[in-house]
Amino acid sequence: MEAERYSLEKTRWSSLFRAFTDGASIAASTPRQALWKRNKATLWYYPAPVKKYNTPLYLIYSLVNQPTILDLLPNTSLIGALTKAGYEVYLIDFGIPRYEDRDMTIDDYVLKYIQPGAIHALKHSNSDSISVIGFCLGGTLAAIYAAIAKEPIENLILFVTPVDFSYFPKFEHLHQAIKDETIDLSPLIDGLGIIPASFIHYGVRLITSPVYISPYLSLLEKGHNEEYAHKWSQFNKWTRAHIPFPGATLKQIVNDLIIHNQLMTGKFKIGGEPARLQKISANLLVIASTNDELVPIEQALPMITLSGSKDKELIQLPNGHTGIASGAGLPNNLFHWLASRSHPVHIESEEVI
Amino acid sequence: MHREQLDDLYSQIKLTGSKAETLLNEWIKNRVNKEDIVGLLGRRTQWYGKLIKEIQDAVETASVPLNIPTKKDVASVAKLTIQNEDRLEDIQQRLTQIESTLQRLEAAMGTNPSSTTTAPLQKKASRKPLDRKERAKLVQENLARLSDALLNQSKLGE
Repeated sequence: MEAERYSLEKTRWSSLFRAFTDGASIAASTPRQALWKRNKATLWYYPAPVKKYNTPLYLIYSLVNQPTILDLLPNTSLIGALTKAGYEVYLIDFGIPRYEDRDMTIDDYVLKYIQPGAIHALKHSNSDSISVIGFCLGGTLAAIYAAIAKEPIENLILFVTPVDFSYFPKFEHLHQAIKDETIDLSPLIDGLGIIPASFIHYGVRLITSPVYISPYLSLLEKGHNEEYAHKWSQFNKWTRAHIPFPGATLKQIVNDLIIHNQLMTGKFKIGGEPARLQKISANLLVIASTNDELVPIEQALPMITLSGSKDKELIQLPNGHTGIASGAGLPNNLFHWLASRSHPVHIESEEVI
Repeated sequence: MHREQLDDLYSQIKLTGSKAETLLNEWIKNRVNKEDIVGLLGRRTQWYGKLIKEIQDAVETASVPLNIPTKKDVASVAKLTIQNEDRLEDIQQRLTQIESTLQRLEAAMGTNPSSTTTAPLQKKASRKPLDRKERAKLVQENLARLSDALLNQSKLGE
């Protein structure tokens, strides 16, 4: 009995020790293949073990962190769950921007990476249409892309995606100062060129949880469970793996989206062409979290009224910002929604026969 | 100490710590969201931006007599590679469009696409003139090889 207790305590405290010392990188848990590369971006293909739908899924992740969260562990992988459900999954991974990418704008992300990536995915899957899934700021990019896309987008799913930048509940004075340009961020952004990952890390921390001890206390409480400790460790590595942010994109977000809220007013432009969310005709599913401090639900909800889609639905979940993307607690109605709006393989094969 | 007592202790630490964290976070956020702090942040941002610019200018100036490349020099070389890659990507996209147009035309004219699928090298050996589709395919293959070679070069450079 004592020996068992000693063993548990040893596992618990070594888990906690490893949390501060372990620096190994996160590996993808679902088999994948690189299809296309441009600059630092890669289009990944995750084949379905048994393909059940002809409509592939095209995933666009945020710009502030790495998409490894979508495929963190085999039993809680969003990508793994989607491939097991019979979908071919494509993921555009923007890579880690460096100083030479400081002039990259939202236009570049959409026109040079997202759109060609979708074309490659469509061609590779030999499909007539595609479902686009965006996460956080990647969802904003996905919505902008859907507004200008010539490609046939069947479904658009947006996870915790901000579109209304007029609402910053906890920092209204800072938000107002940026809006009335009392704070001019341009000299700082121009000077830095590319915003260092540590700035992004501490910025996100300030908005969400400046003091961050409860996850470590959870590890202390449950760290004797090796499976929990491993999952915790992988997730913690991801939360610390923020990436640099191109200065030009940040300036565009500040000027066009925060100060002028152009997605809401319909004045946002991509490559000189208007990108009105009213132009979106794809079936729309908005998934928002009621406990999200980074993207409050009020920033995500207007997408429902703004979009021109005839078929639109909202799912509200009690998760935090990353709970859904990590694959933990994926709502069943997401799979039902997607399955009923994707072209199943068997119908096509019957037609061929 | 019994096992249950120890488990309760860890749970209590977690509960108390989480409550303290929530209170502290609220206090920090409320403290930051004040007009005086925002004003200070605005002034500091301006000052810090100017400081960075002046340091960078000084480094740029010093790099000339020291004969060393600056971060901007290295980035401009990397940018050239990215621009070349962009051009290649554009060419590849156009070729793909041409290829699909040709395929559509062929399908509309009722020609047999399988008759043009012979390997380009065999065609060369027989000295038969290549048709448009084969030429486009050859150019695309060569461009893809060139693109790969350039990418490998840039990776080696890194």
